[in-house]
Amino acid sequence: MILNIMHRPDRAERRGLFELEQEYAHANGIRTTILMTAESLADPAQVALAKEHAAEFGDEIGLSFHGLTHRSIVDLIGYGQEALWLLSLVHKRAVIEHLAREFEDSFGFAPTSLASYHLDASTMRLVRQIMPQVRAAVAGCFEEGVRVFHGCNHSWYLFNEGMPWGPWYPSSSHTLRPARDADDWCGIVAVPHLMRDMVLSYEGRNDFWASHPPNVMRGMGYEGEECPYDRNLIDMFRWQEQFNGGYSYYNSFVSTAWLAEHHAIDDRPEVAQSLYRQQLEYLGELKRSGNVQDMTLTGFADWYRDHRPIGSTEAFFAKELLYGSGKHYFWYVDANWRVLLDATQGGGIGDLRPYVGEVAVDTGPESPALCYGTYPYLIQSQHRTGMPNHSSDGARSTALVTIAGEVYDLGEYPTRIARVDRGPQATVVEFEPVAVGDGAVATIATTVELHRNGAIVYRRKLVACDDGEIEVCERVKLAPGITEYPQPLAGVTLGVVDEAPTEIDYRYDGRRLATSSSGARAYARFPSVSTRVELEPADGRRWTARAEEGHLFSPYVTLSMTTKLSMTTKLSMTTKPSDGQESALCVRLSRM
Amino acid sequence: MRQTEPDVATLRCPVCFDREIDVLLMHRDERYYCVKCSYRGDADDVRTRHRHSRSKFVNRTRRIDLGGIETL
Repeated sequence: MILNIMHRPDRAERRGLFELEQEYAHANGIRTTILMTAESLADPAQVALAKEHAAEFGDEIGLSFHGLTHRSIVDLIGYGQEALWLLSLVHKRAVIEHLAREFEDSFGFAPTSLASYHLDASTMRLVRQIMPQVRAAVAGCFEEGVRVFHGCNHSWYLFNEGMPWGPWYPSSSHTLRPARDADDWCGIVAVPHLMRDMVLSYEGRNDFWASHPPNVMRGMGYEGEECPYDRNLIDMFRWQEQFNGGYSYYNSFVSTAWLAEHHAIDDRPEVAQSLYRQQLEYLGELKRSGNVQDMTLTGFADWYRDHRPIGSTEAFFAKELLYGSGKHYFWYVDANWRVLLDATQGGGIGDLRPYVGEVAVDTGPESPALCYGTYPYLIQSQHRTGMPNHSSDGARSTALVTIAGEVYDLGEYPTRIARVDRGPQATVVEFEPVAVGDGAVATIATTVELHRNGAIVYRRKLVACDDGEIEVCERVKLAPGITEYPQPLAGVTLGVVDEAPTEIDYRYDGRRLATSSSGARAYARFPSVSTRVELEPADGRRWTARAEEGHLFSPYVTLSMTTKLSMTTKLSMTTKPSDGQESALCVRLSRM
Repeated sequence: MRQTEPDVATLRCPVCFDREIDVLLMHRDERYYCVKCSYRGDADDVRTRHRHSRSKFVNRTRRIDLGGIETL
């Protein structure tokens, strides 16, 4: 696993804590990347310390865009705030030029690495113009958005959901979307700000659950001065090497504020310091045993360009660590999409970001997006209901299975991931079979294929069945969005294809289209994300199709396809599970 | 208004924390109160509720290494 440790000196009065952080890293043989803020650039002692450590330990010195409340910034733009990406273009340019100049005056060279919680496309363009030498950037906070906004009492304006969890090549039009190819790439290698718990990032606010011991204290996931979770999370990322050709990445980025008395920690600063030291001790141990390789941020960017070509896919098999729930999730990302499969809901899609639509977003006052830097979803079950709560369900995918006249929802049947196969053309995720039904029971095995061409294939294998035959309705419920609130669906089109397509424009009227002939398909077009979603058979079976318009109490598009499966022979002592039939249904995303 | 206990700078509202919201408690005499919800209590009560909040993290003291992850 490759490791970046980053430190961000800021106010002069916390210089001692910066020294402490550096001491912890160096004592464990770990190089750091020191990311200088406006505050620390104005403190000659911290500038001197950074130079000394770069010379003695090989640390890198880069530039941080965080903390734009320093007097020098207020003098420059008339006010101070936290977020460069939310400034006007004029102010973004002024701040970047100012900090670049201050940095060069202090160090005598130009930085090749940067850090910001978010670097929207307009800021990235300015960085490329003003500092073309930059090769690496901390450029996003995985899944920080709605829940973190709520969690910070609606005061933290970082809407940054829908990005890769690991390093990526940001595209030019939306920096959270991985570039399709070299022409689409903005020119800088990005890493996330911290590595996040890949289960709890989906289920709740993830500024608690990250590679940042004081953040875990904020979430209260520790006891006394013990926090094994910090090491468990590191090992969870190490465990991913097997699913990504031996590659895994980890970083930690704890600023000095978190080692002082902090408004979000109800404990002594000494505990935060101790837990941070323990984290670095464990990473030092892993380095000494050859399991971790530390790099500077720019060093990593160069390594990444040499070893991970643009267009690489990445997967994360996440197991829940803290509650002891036994939950499994599977994340997959490539240039077409980011997908989350939720084993606790039968392997259904819990989150879907259609990168294939290449939505362009700048943040700032001139942009229609304003503060919303998130890459939009088509499915987000946590924000948009998921399993039924009142009268109907929300965004998700599932299969409705009819056995002896009774309908069962596979989303209500928790399973676990049994096998992952990362092939060159498709990633295959096999779930443990589930026994469905109350009276008559059918045992169904689900396998999901995530293809590199933007297609996901759901295979349902009938392993055993009391009733001989079942009906399987594959169903996807979608709505584009960026927060937990519905977006207007005007302009959305849905349809089915029989011999000829039948199509309607969305007007919240609860209408349904259906077809009964073989070779049928169902589809919808979502202009706000420039994406067409189509359900089509991936086997030779006879399927019927439906497309359903929602209404204002359930503002979604529901696409479904139905077929029948039977046991080819009656299951007996001598027959094998393979005797049941299998269906294969493809959900295909394409650019409109 | 007095400052909070000398050993820590802040305490967060335990009721809001259970809704995953950070809200600093205000402090008057020996009592803490929340401006976002109607919680009020002394420091001991806040600490007791915080202990209860963290008890849901069943594995908070459990080391789960690579071998342990394999079997989760």
